[in-house]
Amino acid sequence: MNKTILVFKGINFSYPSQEQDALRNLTLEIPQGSIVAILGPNGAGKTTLLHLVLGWLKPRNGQVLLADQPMEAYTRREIGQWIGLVPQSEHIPFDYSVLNYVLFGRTPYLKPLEMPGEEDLHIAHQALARMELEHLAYRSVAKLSGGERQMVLIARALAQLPRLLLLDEPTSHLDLGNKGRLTSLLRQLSGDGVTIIFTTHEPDIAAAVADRIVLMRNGQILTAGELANVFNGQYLSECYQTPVEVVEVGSHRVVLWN
Amino acid sequence: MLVVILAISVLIGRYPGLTLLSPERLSSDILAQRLVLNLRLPRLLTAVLLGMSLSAAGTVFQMIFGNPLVEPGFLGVSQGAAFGAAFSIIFLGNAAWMIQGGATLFAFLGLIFSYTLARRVQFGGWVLRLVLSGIAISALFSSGLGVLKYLADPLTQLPEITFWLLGGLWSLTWNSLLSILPASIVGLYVIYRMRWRLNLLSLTDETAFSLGTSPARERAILLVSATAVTAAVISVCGMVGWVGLIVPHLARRTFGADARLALPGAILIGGCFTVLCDDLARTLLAGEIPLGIFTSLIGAAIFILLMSTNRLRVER
Repeated sequence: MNKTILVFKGINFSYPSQEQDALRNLTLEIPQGSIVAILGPNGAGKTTLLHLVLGWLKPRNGQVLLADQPMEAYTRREIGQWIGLVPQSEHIPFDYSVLNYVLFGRTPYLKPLEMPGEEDLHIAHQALARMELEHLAYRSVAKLSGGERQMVLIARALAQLPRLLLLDEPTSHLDLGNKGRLTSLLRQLSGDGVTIIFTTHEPDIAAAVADRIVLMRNGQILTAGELANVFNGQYLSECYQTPVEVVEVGSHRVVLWN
Repeated sequence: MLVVILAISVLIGRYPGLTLLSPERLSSDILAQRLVLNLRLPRLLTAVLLGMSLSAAGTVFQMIFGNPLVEPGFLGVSQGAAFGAAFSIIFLGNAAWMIQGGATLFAFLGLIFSYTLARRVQFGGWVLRLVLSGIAISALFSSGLGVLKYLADPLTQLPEITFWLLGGLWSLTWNSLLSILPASIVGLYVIYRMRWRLNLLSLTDETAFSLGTSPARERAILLVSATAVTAAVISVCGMVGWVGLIVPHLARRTFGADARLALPGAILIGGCFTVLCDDLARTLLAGEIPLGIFTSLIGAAIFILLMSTNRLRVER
């Protein structure tokens, strides 16, 4: 069993404008190097959970521990070096080049007034190469398709050389080819010891790549555990409040829903 | 480029007629030497500083708000300065330092009021709240300015206010340049050194945070620096519009969106732009034409050109 890298201890969280808690009594442990898929209906609290890991949101009570240290013990730069975030989508206000955009991922390694150097540029190129995006390096990010943009966001997170990678619905804009490339990349990263947590509305993707599943509903964890124990029709039906069946086709789990 | 424009500009003028002073004449004519040293030189250097400051501040505001349509006067800064200058002209006597002090003080009050109001608004993201607060505070200062104009003596104070609102460099001396130099230089230095962070602050707060920045603190440092340079130059030059809006666009078109190049590019283009506009303002007619008229005219023409050729990209 791998060492636990991330711990949620009795987390409660509510947004200022909402009376109801977005997350309630949430307790969870995530082993290093695992690939964790968070599933749940809209509004279940999946993205909120990712933002708590990042330290962008602070719990009302409870604690998030990263490598046995509370999040408050880390500086902003240290968190940027630890955690890479791939948001669902991003507003890109100016015509930054793809290379520039990926280079932004090197900021946690720079002092406040420092500019990226040759080594940073080299790492940005490596991240682009890993995502097979080098041919787009000098194109404007704003002019790319939704799927290409999503791949660029992942490349930027890779340039952070993160030990924990958070992805918010990373496959939502991707075609089948890019979905395949992403899932094999996630497996490679996990093999390198990177812990991966991603949210998704596609249970098939979760079953294809994750080794642990967290099912959420109404700000609470319905159940969490290894894929084989949790990813079944009973839990998924309860989670989505709709009849769901999981059938095995060869080595794949396929989700059928009404 | 800027040095060449400055060298030509210092020699061009209306002494003894509309002409370019020759080096021979400059070396022999004492009046020409005094004119160049005491009038044209401080005026030109202030024009450079004005263009550089407004363009740098415009770049900062556009990037921080992720919106290419904002300018340095955003967040009540320009309207605050205008109100402060008019208030000083009417109630505190007409001394240059009083007008300068009033404009600077109220420019910062505009920023503080907008910032405070934005913190009290309970809905929307931080940028939206700042934008709405800036509009509201600007409108308040505008109506206050209207009241002051109504109260002003139409023969003495009103023309003074109107000239200040149109912007111009005719009354500048070495002293006025030196009085704004420290704030402008420090502000420009801070903005220049933080230009990589500007790129990140143009993204969403959540993304900037995930990349290891402290968006609120870094944005505040840049906002104060941009407001300081804007308040400093408009306190002596009056309201010179459009420079801070249009020059950052030209710089991005020329040098790309990355602020590592776009910001110094905007600073250089801004310096050239205001010097050239001021050359026109002081030479085209026998009498002085307010600088703000030229910057608005040329700025608006470029803006229309950019819009009609689809070279202006606005997403939100």
